[in-house]
Amino acid sequence: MDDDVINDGSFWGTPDKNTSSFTRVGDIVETKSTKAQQAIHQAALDGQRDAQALKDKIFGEDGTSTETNDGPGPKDPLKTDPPKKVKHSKWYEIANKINTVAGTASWGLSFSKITNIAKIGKIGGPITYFIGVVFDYSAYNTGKINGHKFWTNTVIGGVGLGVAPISIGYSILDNFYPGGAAQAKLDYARWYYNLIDHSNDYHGMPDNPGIEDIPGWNR
Amino acid sequence: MTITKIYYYLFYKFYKLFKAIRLIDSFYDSKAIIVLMILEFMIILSLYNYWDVLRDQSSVFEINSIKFLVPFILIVFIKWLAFWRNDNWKNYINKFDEQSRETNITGTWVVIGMTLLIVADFIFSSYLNPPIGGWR
Repeated sequence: MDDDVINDGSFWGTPDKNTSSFTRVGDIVETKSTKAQQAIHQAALDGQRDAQALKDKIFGEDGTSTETNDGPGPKDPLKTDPPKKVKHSKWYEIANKINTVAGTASWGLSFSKITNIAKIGKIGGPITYFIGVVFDYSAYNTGKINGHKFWTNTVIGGVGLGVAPISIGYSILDNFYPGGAAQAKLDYARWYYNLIDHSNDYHGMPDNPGIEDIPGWNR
Repeated sequence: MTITKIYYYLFYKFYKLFKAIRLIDSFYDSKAIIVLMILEFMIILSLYNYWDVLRDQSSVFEINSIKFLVPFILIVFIKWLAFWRNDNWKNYINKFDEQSRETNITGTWVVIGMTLLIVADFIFSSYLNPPIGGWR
């Protein structure tokens, strides 16, 4: 696993055998720690300081350790070193380059085209809706549809501004059902009339067929 | 209260309405603009109907006629001036939000009254000058 970033710069600690916990230098010390834990922590700090001094004395101060030091003297134990550079695999590098290219391209696009398209949609949406209402009124005024249809379309269109699924369902039914929403209503009435049993129905006078009272039945 | 402020307040109330009953977290301003356009269109159509009643004639409303194109261009131009040219309407919304609650409740009732008046006016004018298929 050479792709993993290994940060062992601040790994100086001592295991606590009594509580089987592990105190690591650089961690935030809890306020409710016992005296033994505080002593272990202090010992860890001292140990790291001594070890760092010994390390600097033997190997000298290399580049990675001098960046975080503000000046000469012992290294601050609470400061963590930056992660070491790890050599990534070939596929990681290729994927990283592709990601960078895609990000740059989308950044460029966002300044050129996308905002204009959003602006056009913001203007075109209300105008399209408005022209639809005007077409409906024109058909109403010239007698192509009756008033019932016009008011139904207008009211359901207005409801659809707030609750879109109602309007979408009505418009799909009205546009794609053969005969429109009115014929769908009649067909549903006919289907439901045939579904239930009428053998015991009372139709008034014997010569009253009753069934012809449904509008559109004899169409 | 200038006419500009009244117009923006009408827009603001419908904006808040669609924000209150939203299913999708977007398009409040577009929906409010649609409502404004339809209300203005209703006023113009009722004027046409009253004109026909006064002249004792019956004319039809076609899409490709000057009766549609002139109000359409006017309405879209007003929308462009007020909402699409810049984002000045957002400042108005912030300003109306800072008003007191009592003022906004009064404004809500005024806007409801104006809307119902315009719709009732349009229905009444359609009743006076019914189309061929009947007014309802």
